[in-house]
Amino acid sequence: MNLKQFVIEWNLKNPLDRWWREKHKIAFNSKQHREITPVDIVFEFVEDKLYNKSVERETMNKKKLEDFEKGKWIKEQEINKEQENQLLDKLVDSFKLS
Amino acid sequence: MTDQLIRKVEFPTPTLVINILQNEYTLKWPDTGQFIDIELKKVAYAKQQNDGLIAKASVESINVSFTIDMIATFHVLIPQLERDINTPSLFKLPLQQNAHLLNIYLRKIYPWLKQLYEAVNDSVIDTEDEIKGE
Repeated sequence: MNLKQFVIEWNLKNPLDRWWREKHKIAFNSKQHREITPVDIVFEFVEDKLYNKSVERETMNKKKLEDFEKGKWIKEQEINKEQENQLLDKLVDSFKLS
Repeated sequence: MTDQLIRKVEFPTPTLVINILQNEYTLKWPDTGQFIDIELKKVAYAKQQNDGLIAKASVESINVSFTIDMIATFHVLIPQLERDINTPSLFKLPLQQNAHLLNIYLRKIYPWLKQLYEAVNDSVIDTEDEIKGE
């Protein structure tokens, strides 16, 4: 097995290791890489994922609130001409019945 | 939520105490450098074995692959072991002593490292499932 094969196998067996090195721009087998433990890496991964999800949720809620305040929810309920005619027909019918 | 994730994945104890002959060793979770060294040594020793450089008496009658893994692991995690047990090389151990070390490795160290490896990989799957399931 040559070095290239070794690195390929290492990355296949340790996908998080590669994720961590890419995130921090750290070379394989460098001092920083050698000193980190797989457990430290996994904790960083879990924290990152949960934090990103939380930020995403926060952004979405903020956007929803902004849309609500701008009255976008009213625009979303706009009806087309055909629907408008149908509603008018119903209204007329209801008068006829009474 | 992080607590739940960590609890779901079962990490092994951060340290492992083992006794070899009269000596006690406390192993800590290896760092990445140690894992790399173990893997590199396994490759190198396997090549030596194939080239017939390893003393045949010590490895032939027992599972060669596990013996190579064991020696690579001991060389990295307990570098002073050869000195402590008064042997010039773990490859030249008498069969009985080799079997004794192999027993410790297979019953204690290997399951401990395997659990660590699985916990790390399970954490990735669990985190992704947790996020998808929200």
